[in-house]
Amino acid sequence: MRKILLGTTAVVGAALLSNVAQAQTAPTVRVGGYFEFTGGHVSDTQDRNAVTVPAVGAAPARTVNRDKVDFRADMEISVIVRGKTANGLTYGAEIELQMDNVTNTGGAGNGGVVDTDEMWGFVSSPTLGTLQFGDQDSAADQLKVSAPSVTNLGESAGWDEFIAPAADGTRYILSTINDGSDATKIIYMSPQFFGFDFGVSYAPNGFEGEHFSVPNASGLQRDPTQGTIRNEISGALRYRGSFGNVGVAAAISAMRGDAQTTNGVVFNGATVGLQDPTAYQAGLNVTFAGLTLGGHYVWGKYAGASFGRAAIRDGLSGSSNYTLGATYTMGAFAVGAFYSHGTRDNGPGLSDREQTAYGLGAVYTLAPGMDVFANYTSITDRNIANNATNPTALAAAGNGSGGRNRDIDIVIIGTRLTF
Amino acid sequence: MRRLRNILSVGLVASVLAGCSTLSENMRVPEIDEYNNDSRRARVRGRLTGEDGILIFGNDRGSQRGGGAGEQSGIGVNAFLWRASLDTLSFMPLASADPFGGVLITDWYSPPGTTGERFRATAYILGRQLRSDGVRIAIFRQELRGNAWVDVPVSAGTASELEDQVLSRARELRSQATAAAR
Repeated sequence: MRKILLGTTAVVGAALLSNVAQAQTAPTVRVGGYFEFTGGHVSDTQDRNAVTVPAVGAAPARTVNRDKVDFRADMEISVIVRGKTANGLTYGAEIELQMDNVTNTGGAGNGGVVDTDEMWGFVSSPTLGTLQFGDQDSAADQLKVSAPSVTNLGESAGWDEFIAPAADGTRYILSTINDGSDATKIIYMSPQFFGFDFGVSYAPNGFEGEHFSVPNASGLQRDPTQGTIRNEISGALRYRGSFGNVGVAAAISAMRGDAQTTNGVVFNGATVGLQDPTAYQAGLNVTFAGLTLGGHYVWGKYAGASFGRAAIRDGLSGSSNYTLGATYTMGAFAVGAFYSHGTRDNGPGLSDREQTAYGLGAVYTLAPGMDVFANYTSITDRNIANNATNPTALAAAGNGSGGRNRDIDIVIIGTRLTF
Repeated sequence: MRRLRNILSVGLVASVLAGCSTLSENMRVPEIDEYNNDSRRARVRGRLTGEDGILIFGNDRGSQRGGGAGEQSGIGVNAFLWRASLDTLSFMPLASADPFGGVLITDWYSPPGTTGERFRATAYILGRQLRSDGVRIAIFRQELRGNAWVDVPVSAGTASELEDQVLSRARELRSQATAAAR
């Protein structure tokens, strides 16, 4: 061996410049996914006398309460493609097939039709950053920093899959910017400089998927009258770093869109215009030795749970909500807690809607990839209106079915397996 | 006064930048998994399969664990190639050896009697299979010029000669193992 090396020195004159090329990686295709089972115990004031038993013969119609217990199962299959070219570009795609209560044409079936969730591709340069394209969360969403939580605990997490929508059509108004919209878009993510990185994204409209026409409606996605948002632009600036043993993540996210083209909406007998939606989020997380403390504040011109995603009527002022959270991880065991509060303007003469939620939860990682979770969430809702984006009156008085007030206590317990 | 302030602020910025070491050391492109992922799958720690999804196409070196000859020995790459690389490069001091990633990095080594030059080698074991293209070796060479070590080229055949050595040693080890098993 030494001979080889010594031989090398002897032929230095003839040596060629050694050019170490980047290792090209043949593309890989992986299949992953998850399965989840959740049981819920719901105590909701709006479940009282919410169900009508129809009249039969001499027996008159009557109302009964909803049951308190329900089970649900959920799954998603992901196809993950990754590769690397000889010049160092990495590329890939992800396709997620989900169970999202989709039924066959005409509403038949048990809601077990599989559809796509996110599907997107990317190209990433080691110096220029990453370009993502497809049905994917916006830059504001991907870079946001939100209150910490454990599996299925949060201001709009496992609990809201068990409750009925309120009179204005919403279940929760507490969430984060974008609230998970995957409208088809292009996204640029910058490299990280000294802990800072930023991203921007653009979607021409709010539609996703293969369609050029609007599903179940006559019209094209390009028609400015279609959907609730046009020209969605989002951006975010994020910082991640550590100071001694303390980890810090902070971000500011913003998104805006143009309202769809309309002649306005009717309010109190007059026609009023629409405001272009906006949403902003500032968040901070601090981590020390298994303990994470953090929170986020969201504000802007939006209604209900449509964070920057639907135009609101002229005259409605901005909305805001915040969440504070803490998690603590000890080996396979993690616990979390949060407190969240939000308000929405219901318009002149009407009190603001206010939703408050707090929760406590625990997660045990039974095996790598298998969580068992249990949590309790309490929600208080006041002054629910009759419509989220164009409220004209509060819902019926009281906290019964379809009422303006609501109190919910939910316990969920279940397991999630990922592979 | 204003000009003085400008000069001072330029000086301040320059010293702050100088204090932050170089840009290239503090710049990198985040991986895809460093962005928020709203899939419920992303929120569970670990995977039942031990890796992110089940490989149905391709040969991913990055997450190979066990299998083949490596399985019994608890290392991530082909055990014969790993052992052979260690044997072949053992005349140089080792700086780093990662049996899971399959990377072996030696420290600088000057052959006896040649103090003016030194070598360093990096061996990559590329997978679980015992294949002729399963190992890649890069040799770096420096010469002492004045007071400084300067990179100089290595002849093209050196690395592949070393690879051949590793492969023949691996073959040896394998035939020994097969013989022992009989």
